[in-house]
Amino acid sequence: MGAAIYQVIAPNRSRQGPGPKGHLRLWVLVVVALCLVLPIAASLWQALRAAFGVLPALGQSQAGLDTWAALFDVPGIASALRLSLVTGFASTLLSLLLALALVAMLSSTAPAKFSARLLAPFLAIPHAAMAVGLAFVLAPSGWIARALAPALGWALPPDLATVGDPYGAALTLGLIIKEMPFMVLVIMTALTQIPLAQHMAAGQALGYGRAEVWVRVIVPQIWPLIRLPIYIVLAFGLSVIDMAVILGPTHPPTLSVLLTRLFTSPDLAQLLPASAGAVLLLAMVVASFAALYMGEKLLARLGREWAARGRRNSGLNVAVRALAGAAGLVLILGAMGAVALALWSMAWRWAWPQLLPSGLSLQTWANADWITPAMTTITIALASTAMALAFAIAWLEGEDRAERQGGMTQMMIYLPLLIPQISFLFGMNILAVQMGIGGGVGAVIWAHVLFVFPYVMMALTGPWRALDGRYAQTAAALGMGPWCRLALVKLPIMAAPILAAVAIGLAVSVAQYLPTLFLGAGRIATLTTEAVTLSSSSDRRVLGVVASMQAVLPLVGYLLAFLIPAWLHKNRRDLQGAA
Amino acid sequence: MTLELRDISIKRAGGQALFAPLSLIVKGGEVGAVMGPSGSGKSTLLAAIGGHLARGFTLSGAVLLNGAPVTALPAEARRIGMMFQDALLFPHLSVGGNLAFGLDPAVKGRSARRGAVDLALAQAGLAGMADRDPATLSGGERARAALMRSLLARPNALLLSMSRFLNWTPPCEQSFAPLPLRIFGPAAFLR
Repeated sequence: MGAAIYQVIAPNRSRQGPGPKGHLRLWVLVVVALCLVLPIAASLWQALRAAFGVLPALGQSQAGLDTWAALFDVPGIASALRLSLVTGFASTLLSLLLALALVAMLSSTAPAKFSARLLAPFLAIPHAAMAVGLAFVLAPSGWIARALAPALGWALPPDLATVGDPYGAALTLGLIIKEMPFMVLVIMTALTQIPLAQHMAAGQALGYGRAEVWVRVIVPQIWPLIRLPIYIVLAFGLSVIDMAVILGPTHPPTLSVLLTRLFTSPDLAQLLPASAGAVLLLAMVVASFAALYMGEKLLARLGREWAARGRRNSGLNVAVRALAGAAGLVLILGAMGAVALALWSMAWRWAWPQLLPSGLSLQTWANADWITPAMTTITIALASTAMALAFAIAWLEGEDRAERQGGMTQMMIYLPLLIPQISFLFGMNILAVQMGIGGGVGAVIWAHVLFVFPYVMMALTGPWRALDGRYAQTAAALGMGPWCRLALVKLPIMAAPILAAVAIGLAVSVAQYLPTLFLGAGRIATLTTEAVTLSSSSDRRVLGVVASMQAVLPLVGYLLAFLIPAWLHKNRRDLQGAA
Repeated sequence: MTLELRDISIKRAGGQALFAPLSLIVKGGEVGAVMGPSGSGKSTLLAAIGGHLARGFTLSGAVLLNGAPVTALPAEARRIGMMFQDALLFPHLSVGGNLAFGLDPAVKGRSARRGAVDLALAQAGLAGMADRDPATLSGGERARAALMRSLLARPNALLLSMSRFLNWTPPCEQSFAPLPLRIFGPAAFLR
């Protein structure tokens, strides 16, 4: 009897003392700082030194401004800079507008669950695979041109630069196809945090139409919740590489592609201007954040004045409908791209201007060398996701035990997504070489964790914090210690969100291009690096195989993340539909 | 101005009607009340009158304003104000911003609108609170601000879904006179 009472009381007692409750959090903070933040800081320092001419590895130790002169002498640098800014801002702002309009329409017509499932494939398919698929649709010999050929009497594919156009329109479209579904997901998640239906009814009762309530009342409230993802999308759009190689112009390319060329040039002297360019790109991203922030403040101010004027009929409904329609078209283009990938990978003969291949065959799948890169991709994805998941669970559990959450420390998780990859990955490679792991799979996995971890955290944080704390308290009252409570109560209840986070982590890892290229010293071939390399070749079948496989892996992950909890919890109604 | 409910009945998808068909006439200046135990469908009835019925419910019967059916109109076109259980002030706007959001767009010009908002705040005993964050208001203050927001939109009928309002009368009944308002409380629900 006495023992039983002791067991019930003991956990409570240990939670009150200053004792071990904050230890896990401290450990996680230290490990994350050492493994993720410190290397980024050191790498940026490397880049900054090299930008001013100090690169001991090349015997350069004299600081000066020559590197900047060399950078600005690189042909096309000004156009590259402008192209990056235009495609980055255009893709971010358009993705945001289209996503807001689409959610405004969907939230009144379709259940959220349906929308989430509709979007899953678009979120899963990696940027490179989507870019290849879109190129198959848009190219002068692609689907759209083939459909138009009979009507316009084209005997040959038209001589138009529909992919790699000098304005970066194809690149912008490709980015929108990938970023808009992400924004939709982020917005739908944010909507669960506010009393959407009540505010909609309150606005309508005052005489405002749905679209008007959406713009004046709902968007301002969710804005703080979607701000970070918007900045992440902007940073990504300003510095994307794989998609820009496949869909963007080549002479000159975007700034980040130009820098990748310099960094991987056989002429090692190019590393100096490349580093200066990396610093320039970082400065451009920081300036863009500042511009976006000021634009946001200005819009909020104007928006409040506009709301106070009380006009009810402003034609917004039409605009929202038109934008939602455009968003639908974007999704259709993306779906066509995915289908085109699969078709090309199995095409036997597909002559111009036929809409479909004249025969299907698995010959290319049998001949092309996709199995080795696929195995490498899977290995890296599983290892980096496992590590990221361990970090994430430790982070969130540490917060629970320390009974505090969020704060500034959280920003360091998202740092790798806000800094352009090319600004620090080369420096990180030097760091890896100095540590003796340069060019190996271990270094690549390490670099992937940097980008997988924030996405796993994004996916897991909401559901974890929403978990009813009384489950763990009940377990404690039954005498379970903190680790038992984690393993036997929290993790099983969180199975569905954890698997969803794993699927997202795998998709992020599979999609990584630059970390694999730089940290693997160009020697580690994944499906992504193969797809980007093959994209400039002419064999669409082989490219179709590699890109299809790259798309299939994350899709399988998403499918499993959906099926496993459904099977595990088939007799547990309260746990169904948790993901 | 008259609000009439004619044989209103609401069904859940594949379910039974929530209550027996209901008819009610509330004339201008009158307050009607619908009472019923918790869970009997009072809030759903209110939502149906205002045009906010959730997906999955179907409404039969007619809601008429001055003899004209409004059942087919979207909520925003009915001119039926609604006070919810929670005051639901928009958290991104100031108290005055909330009232201005409701204020009829026919009141034009920055100073005229500001004047109308300030007057309404004063009438509700909230003088000088225009620039306050709604979150800093007490529950009662919030409810009064939300009521004034609804009234400034000049609704033809006003639905109150809380008993709290029955305990509060404007400091001066005539003070509503400058605004061409017809106030109904056709459905102030009591428990």
